[in-house]
Amino acid sequence: MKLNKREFLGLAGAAAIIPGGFAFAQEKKSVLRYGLSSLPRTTDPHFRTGIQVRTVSFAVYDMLFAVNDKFEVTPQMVDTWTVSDDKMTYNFTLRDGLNWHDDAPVTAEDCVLSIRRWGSRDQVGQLLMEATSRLEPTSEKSFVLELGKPFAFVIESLAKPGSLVPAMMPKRYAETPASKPVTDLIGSGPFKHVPEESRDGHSMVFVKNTEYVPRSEPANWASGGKVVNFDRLELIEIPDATTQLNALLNGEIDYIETLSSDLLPLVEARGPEVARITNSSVVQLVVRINHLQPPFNDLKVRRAFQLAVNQQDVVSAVASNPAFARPCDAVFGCGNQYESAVGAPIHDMDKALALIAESGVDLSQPIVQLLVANASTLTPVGEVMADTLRKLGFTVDQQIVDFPTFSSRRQNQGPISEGGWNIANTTVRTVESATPIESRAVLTNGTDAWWGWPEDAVNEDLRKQFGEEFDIAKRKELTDQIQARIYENVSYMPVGEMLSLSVASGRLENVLDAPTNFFWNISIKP
Amino acid sequence: MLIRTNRRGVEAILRYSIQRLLAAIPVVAIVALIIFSLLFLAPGDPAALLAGDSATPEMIEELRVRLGLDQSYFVQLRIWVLSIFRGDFGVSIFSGTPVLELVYDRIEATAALSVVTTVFAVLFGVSLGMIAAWRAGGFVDRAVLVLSAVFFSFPSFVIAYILILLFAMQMQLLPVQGYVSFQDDFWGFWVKIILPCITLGLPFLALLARITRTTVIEVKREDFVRTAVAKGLPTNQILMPHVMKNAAIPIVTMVGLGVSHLISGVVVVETVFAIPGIGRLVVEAILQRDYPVIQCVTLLSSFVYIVVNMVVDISYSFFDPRIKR
Amino acid sequence: MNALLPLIEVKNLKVTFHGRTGPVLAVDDLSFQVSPGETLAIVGESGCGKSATAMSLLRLIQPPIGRSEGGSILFGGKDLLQLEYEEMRAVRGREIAMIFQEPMSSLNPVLTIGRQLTETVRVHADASQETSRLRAIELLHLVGLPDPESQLRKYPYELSGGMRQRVMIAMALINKPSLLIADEPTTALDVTIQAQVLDLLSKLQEETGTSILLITHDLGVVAEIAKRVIVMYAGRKVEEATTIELFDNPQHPYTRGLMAAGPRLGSAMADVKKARLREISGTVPIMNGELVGCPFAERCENVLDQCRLAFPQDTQVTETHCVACFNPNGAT
Repeated sequence: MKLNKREFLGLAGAAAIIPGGFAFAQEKKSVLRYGLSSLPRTTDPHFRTGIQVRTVSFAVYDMLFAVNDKFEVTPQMVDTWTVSDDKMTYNFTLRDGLNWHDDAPVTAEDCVLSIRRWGSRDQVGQLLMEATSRLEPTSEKSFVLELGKPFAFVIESLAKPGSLVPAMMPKRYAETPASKPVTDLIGSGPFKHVPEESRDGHSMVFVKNTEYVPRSEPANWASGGKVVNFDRLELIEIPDATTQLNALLNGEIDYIETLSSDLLPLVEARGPEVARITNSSVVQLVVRINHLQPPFNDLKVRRAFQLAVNQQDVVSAVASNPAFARPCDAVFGCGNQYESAVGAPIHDMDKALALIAESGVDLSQPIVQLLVANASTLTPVGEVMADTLRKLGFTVDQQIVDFPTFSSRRQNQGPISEGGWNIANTTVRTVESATPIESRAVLTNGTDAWWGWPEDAVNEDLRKQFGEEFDIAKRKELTDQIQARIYENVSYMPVGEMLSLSVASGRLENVLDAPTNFFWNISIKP
Repeated sequence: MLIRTNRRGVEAILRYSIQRLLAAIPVVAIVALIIFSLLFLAPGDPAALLAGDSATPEMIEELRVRLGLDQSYFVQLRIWVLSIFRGDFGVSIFSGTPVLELVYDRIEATAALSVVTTVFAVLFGVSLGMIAAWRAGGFVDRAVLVLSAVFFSFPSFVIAYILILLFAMQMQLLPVQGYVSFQDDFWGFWVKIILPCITLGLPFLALLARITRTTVIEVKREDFVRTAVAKGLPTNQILMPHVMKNAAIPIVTMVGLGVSHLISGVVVVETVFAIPGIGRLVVEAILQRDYPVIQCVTLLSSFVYIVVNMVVDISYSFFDPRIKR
Repeated sequence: MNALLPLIEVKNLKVTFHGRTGPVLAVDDLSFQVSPGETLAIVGESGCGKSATAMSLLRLIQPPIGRSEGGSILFGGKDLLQLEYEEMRAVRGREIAMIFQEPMSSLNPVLTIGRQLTETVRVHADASQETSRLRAIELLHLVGLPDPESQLRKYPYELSGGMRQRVMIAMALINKPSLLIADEPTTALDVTIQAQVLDLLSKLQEETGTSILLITHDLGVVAEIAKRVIVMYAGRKVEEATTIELFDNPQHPYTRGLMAAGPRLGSAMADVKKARLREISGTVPIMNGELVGCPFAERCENVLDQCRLAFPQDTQVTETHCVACFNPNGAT
């Protein structure tokens, strides 16, 4: 069977290079060209976060489970699965027709190794692995996962829509340590990577995986049938935002990953038959304060600062167009399943100043701010924070850094005199911080937590309870408690949300509106 | 032209080139050492960047060890120098691809862009300068003076956007962006390279037009030009070779300088027109602290700089027999 | 060509240079003629307009530097001043050739002697590379350069000053012109070389029958080879005579001034040494058009009132000798 197919392909290939070969060899291929500001340098879904890695990962790799737009988990590669009554033993059986792009069939062993590799690096994955006592194949197509301690999010973890993506890889890649990125792109998903036609810094080329057997359900995000309606997908690196839009309007590309906010009027002016906004993914604007060093080791100062922050100022600083930014009090993302306003601070400058006076903080000590230079989002948010601190009576020592310097300096837990810092800001994608267990940003285990190193045992305990809770309603209660606790201790400071918009040309139909741009379901008008 | 190109001349040029290249080795070595030290001292840690936002300190440290970034300055320097002597420029921290492969992939676009731009700028810049000088004070001369001031002071990206707006968006004659190798698609190559080359070439052209104009006006006053007129030579023969061969040295010097400076202009043009070239590679590498890539490209560009200078020097003796090698 | 008809006839030539403060008259109302085979010398101090005259014969004075404003230059039945550019180009280097003062700077330093000689042939005749090369060798031989073939491959800097001037002469004569303009051909050379070059010019004139218009400030050179002489002062012709008449019987006070320390006719070049014009007190006026009367008046020992009111008409002394002076004999 396989041999026959290879022979056939060989013949077809030979026909294609014979001048005036068979008619089907010359049939016009339909191509979708996707413009993005930079192609992912590392495409290993178990290694790198970031929207580009996710875009490529979802195209090439498949997942055991997937969530739909209501965050409901549905099986994707899995055909049937069972859970024991004590919720401690899971049995999975893969569906038929799954093949790697190099033609080998997908086995349970591949999947087990892939879960382990992902689980060694991902936040939720690590929780899953900690809880797991046994994970091994039981047959060619089945495997078992036994928990040693309760964990309620086994299926949710494996369906995770954000980075790091729990993608399934062939054994030989799944066996490599996760600290060493896999450079090949061989999965079992609906698109095959064509490295010989890809060019670093210019394009990544994929072709439709004609062997792929989609599920029968309709596509909804990454769940359901991933039906591809065109032959070839080209990811084209166009670093300049204006050029991206010009290329789209000129018909050179069909789809733009992220529209620069100042260009929105140009898209709207052309009308939906030329170009329209399709997807939006949301990032939370996050301020990090260093809980280990004065003055933010003092809860009163933290609370004063939290009360002094006005989200409206932040939002108008990052985007002149309200379509791109909005205030949001939900720690786990507005529009997400655990959206809530519980415990959110209400901006009150008088109260903030009173708290500062009460705390007796030494205002003569300047606050060291790590401010990323020339970043369209990070820089204005940082400026608003500096301004807020000044209103409280602090002086701010703004240390302007580039992103690499920022990435390493923020790891410094030491005092200011040893290169430490007091305040910095960043962004977190809400698709990756939708639950209390997914995001590193809401950890409060002190020096092991995310940079800023908040410490709060109560929150840690609530998070643990959440991880073991199966009941949907109770989960919601727990997240409200967690959010209230986070605001109380000022462990995490969301200061607004920004939307990043994608633009599709009028030629594209049935584009899925999802946090990652998916290429299935799309049809191209001729 | 009666140029002596006998075997002895060729041998002399070869011998001279080899001497120059050997003499350049210490220069390249010093450049390499400075770059290495600067990168070592520069703040920012590629491991932290590579590990990503959500990485734990342990993951970052693990990466640092794997990449050898935990070693001391001298150990890292020794490893680097030794591997260069083996012809190994290392592996990109971010993509895991060998640096030479990355550079090889990118060099064609930049080389094509630079060569076409240089040819364009030299051809038009020198011609316009000649015409302007020959009719000094005339319409062409004044136009060249004004335009060269304009092009020289306009930032490249403004020129680029104007050209895109005119030729791609309005007239629909040329594509907005992109690059294709001339080996893959000869026509496509030219169609796509035109606007980037004009953008990159206009300031260069302006500079050459001005220097040519000034030089030709000076040479025009020389007695031998009067002799050439008195002999009844037609204008084109007076210009070429009588005037131009004498004017060549300042012009060629400027061409050499211009080619060396293209690398800085190339970044903007490669970015605006989405051309996968060396300029963008190195800027991305710097932003990510991808040390092996930065080091390799720096070495490469200092080498190119030296070769360009050498070619310019050799060309001096070609244009003026009085200059001995 | 009929010996009675002049080869070239210059009538009322007027040349202006565009100076910084306005036009400067370099040559004013100059008329003279050169017969076939004769050598006419124009002498005067630097700035008297003799070089401007020579240049305007080939129309080498072009805007924006200056221009020929009036008069005519009749040559072969045509007025050179009225010719189209291409017609004029056919005259240059073919009918009328020129030797310049500074042989180093007048030869292109970056082209071989061979290239510079052969292109002169090929631009005027449909000659092959080889024909023109042979012609160049012939000419180099004629002007007495040793081993002409190897000279062709040399660059000007590889030759001595005298050799360069010989190359210039060869280049000028290579198309057998009927008029050779020699603008201070020996000024830049050593005295011994000067004599050789002058001898060469005389010899070549005998062999080729070409006419020579010699521009010089050096009366010794004039005495050596010229048959007739024109003396110019401030753009004007002040005296014209055969060389013998001029040296025997100079009429104009300016000519006599030039003569005072100058050589007698027949004195050998070697005796003359550096026979420069004697210093005449005063300076040459700048001819910006405001001056009426004789420009030499301010420096003249014989000056009369009328000298300051109008420029004197030519007065015939003999059939071949005329002078423009109201008071050549010093009457008071």
